[in-house]
Amino acid sequence: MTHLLEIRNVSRRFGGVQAVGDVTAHVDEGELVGLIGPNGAGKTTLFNLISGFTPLSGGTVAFAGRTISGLKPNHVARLGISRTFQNLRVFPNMSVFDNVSVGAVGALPQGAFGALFGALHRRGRDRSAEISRRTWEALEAVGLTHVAAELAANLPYGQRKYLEIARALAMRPRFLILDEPAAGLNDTETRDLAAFIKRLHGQGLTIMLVEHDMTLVMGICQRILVLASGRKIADGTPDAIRTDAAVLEAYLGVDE
Amino acid sequence: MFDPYYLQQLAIGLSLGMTYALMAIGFTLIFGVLNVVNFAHGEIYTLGAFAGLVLISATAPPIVAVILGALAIGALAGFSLERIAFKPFRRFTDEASLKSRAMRESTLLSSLAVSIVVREALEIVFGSQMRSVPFDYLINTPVRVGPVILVTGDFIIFGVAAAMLIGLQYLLTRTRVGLAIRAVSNNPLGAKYVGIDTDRTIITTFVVGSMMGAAAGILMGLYYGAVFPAMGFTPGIKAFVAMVMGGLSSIPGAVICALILGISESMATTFVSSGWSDMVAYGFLILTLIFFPNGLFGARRERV
Repeated sequence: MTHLLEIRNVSRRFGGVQAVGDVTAHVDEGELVGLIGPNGAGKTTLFNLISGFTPLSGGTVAFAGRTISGLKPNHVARLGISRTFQNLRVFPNMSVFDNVSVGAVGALPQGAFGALFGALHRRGRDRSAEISRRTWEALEAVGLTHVAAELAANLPYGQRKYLEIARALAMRPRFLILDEPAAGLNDTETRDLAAFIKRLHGQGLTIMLVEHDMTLVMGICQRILVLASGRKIADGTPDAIRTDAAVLEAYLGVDE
Repeated sequence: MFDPYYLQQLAIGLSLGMTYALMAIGFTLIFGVLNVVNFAHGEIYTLGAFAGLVLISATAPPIVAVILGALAIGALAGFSLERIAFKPFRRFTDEASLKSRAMRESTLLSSLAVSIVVREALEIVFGSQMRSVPFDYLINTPVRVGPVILVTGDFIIFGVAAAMLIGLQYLLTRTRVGLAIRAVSNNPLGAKYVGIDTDRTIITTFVVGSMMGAAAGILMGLYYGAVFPAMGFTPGIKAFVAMVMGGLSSIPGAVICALILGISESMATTFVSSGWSDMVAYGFLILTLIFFPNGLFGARRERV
């Protein structure tokens, strides 16, 4: 059986710095996987390599049996991998509804003519209806329907995070990558977020999550990958990771 | 009773402002998306006018065909301009390069270079003198409206400018192409990650903006009856001033400011010699920059 996501011997150098070195890992359909590691371990770089944003220096990435390394981010996104960002990338001067429909539009590509004059023929109208249906559905999933007409810039920080997740969900992804979703949230908000991620996972979505908040990661993930200095040092259940010698060393250092 | 002279000046000013507005719409659209000034927009305008003139002298087609020809050349010019002057400098690889001033300035210079090359090439091919448009094609039949005399071109220009504005609002807010354009203008990286082809969206923006520039060029050629290689320069500057006054990325703002410019220039000729009327535009620019650094319509409106 092939894995949904398969990362083989992936590496990336920035000048003389080896940001990610020879990482091999996989994610199976339906998993909820955590990716942790000390600062500068290469977590975000690994995400960027998967989503096609940063070209690989070596190795391959395959998604659903198809090699995706070398594809542009918009192609990778259309294949079913969507992501959110550590520092948010919502569209501040667009309404919440429009923000999310960009995701739906991005996932349903079509020619320029149809996109311009779609409103004038029946198939185009069906498509518009489909886009607005997916948009409302995603807004409902994150609980932002009541602010749909609001400008994204006017939302509080926590809601902007959910907005970004809604935009990713509107693409109907097979695989969702969340880059530090709990950063900047307080304890209550983090607990709500954990419940929300679990609910998404419960609906059958495969999720990978980078997070500094250990209680969140340990609490919801089925499996955890640990990176340190660009290398994978551990891969296992939360309980195994908690007692792993290499992980403790990477996080706490070794006594001389 | 109000002196009809002022009404006439007001009408002249409005039509002058409309001609600036035609130019400013495309200019502001491109700025709003890429955040870079496209110095070659004036030459697109000139190319549109020459394309129309060449068509007229070659086959004497109906006026609609002349305008369609100018639009086609505008679209082609916009596409090539983006590939030659903008694409090579665009690297959406990380946040730092997106915000880098060096990148913005290099496209400023590359578009300026394209504008100089195009202007000189036109001079080599057509010579630098004015070429007059055959009389049959002129759009300056006088029309009397109450105490004011206008020409047919004033109505055509008003109609075209209004159609462009409404069409653009429709494009930006009601179509999926427009949604993509706004998303790219808000955050190109975010757009890319949700499956938007940023490259294609930017090309579309250039093509649409340049078609508007070329349409403005041919209309002005038919309105004033003269076409020459340097004709894009002054309207280009005025469009730039209108864009800055309007808050850089607000299209309705730029149009309103273009009208203000036109009216104040024509009113100014009442009091000072017409050679000084350009001073009004630059004076407005300086005043705006001092008192409203964000432009008159800057902060309140949505970008693009």
